[in-house]
Amino acid sequence: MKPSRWNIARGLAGLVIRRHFSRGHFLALGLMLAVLALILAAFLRAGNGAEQFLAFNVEFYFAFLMPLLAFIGGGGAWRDELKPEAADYFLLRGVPRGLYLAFRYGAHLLCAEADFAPALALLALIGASRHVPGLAAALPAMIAAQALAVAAFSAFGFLCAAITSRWVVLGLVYGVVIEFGVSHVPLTISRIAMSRQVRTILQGLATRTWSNTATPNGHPAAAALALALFAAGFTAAASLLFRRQELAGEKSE
Amino acid sequence: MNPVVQAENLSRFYGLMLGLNNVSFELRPGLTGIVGPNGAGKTTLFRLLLGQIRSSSGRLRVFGAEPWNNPAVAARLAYCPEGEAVPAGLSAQTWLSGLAMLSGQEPAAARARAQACLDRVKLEAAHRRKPLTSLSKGMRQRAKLAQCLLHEPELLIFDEPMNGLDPMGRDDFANVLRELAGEGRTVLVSSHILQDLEALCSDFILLRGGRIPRSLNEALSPQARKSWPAATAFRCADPGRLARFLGDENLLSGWDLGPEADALQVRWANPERFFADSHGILLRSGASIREIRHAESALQKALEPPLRP
Repeated sequence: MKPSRWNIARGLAGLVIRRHFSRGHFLALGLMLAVLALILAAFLRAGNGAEQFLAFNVEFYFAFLMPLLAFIGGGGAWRDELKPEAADYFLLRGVPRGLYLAFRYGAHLLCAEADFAPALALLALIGASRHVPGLAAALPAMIAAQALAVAAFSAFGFLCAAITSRWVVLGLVYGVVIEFGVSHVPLTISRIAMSRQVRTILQGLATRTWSNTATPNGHPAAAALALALFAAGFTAAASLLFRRQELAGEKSE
Repeated sequence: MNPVVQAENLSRFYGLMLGLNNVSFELRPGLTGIVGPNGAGKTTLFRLLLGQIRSSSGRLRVFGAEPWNNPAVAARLAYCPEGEAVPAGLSAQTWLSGLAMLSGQEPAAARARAQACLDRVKLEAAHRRKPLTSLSKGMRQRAKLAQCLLHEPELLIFDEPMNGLDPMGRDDFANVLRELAGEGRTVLVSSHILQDLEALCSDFILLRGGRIPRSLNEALSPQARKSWPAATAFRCADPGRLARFLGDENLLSGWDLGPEADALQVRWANPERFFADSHGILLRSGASIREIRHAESALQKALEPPLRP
């Protein structure tokens, strides 16, 4: 009898969630939120008007900080999975490798979305306390942008980590060339950048600050679909790679 | 009986480095010991059997199929690695329940199966809900053994399973391995504790420099291994009491105390009987033993052949 995929997914999710939400993790999360609150407070105290608040969020949080953390979280999660304490046990239960990676990505995504939700809540709270105009109307777009960006950048982290143990270097090179370079080119090619898609989803919020960059155009729904496709494509590519990879485990003689 | 594992001219190289070089062997149900010095190729062989790495040349069949990246084969085997690393943030109960679900079991069945396996390896209930990383090395070994039993595997591979276990733990572990072999499963065990391996296994594979040297493996044939150590030296708290106990059991042809106060040398009258249940006999003696040193066993002789001039 073939093992139930639903049981496999639930079993893996249970193991991943329990390992993810450790006491140390909550401490780190609290620290990150405190740093974010300090940065926002400093931004607002520096004489920036409340109307600049959303624009700053788009450029700093949605297009830089959150994607970077999602990428590091995704890549780190997959490299942890290849360590002997996981690989020697979890990968020897007869689950096809491609399926295992896809389920592992799904379980990680649940954790990552839960990690980033308090940050978005913090942004909304600070914005509300400063009576930022249009914040309530912007919230659905912000939630959608965060959910999709976390999915896409986490999947990219999985892919880089599946390609090489120097996945951080690979990600940084990609980030500098594509996300900071190509994404600001006022040509169609800029759409290959995921942060560009995020800006497109949030285009109603921050166009005033983009005088030096290409104003995003395109439909937010198309940008959302593009991010979802990026996530699916990266996960599929990582699964394909992983199916062909050898696992040296703790030591190879 | 068909072999569970068949390897023919199997080789594995890591670039220019040799892992395994042209080895051929078969594994059948029962206990098989795998011995060899560090770097002999044991871990490479295990990883080939587990389907984690590919062979460079030759042919390997596990349950009649190529094991490399083959979930159908992986579902029928279990592995207990040498390393102490276990997942952080999980208790033994949670870990095993999750692994049983990864093997496709329903949550309730997985929890029950995890309990049953922890019972079988005698991990005390008080330790089952503690984080794995906070358990002692011996308890971790028991949890690692339990995870091997979850899905009723047909081939079990143990890499240095006795590491970190006290004599009682080694005895429990050996009993479980014997039971598994008795149930018709194929058990492959590597250990540096040669006496344990000799007492446990019916067959051996000796690896040396990535090869299986024929002459050394012939020296490990069941006939050759009948030559148990003729003498053993103990260091214990009360050597006189241990000598009397072993004498009463009709195991000794002679014994000497000293030269140190805690030293005892015995000459065996019936070594086969002693080595078949050495842990049990020594536990029953009640002696607090600090050191056991045997005269060279067949395995030791095979592992350390005399240097040629």
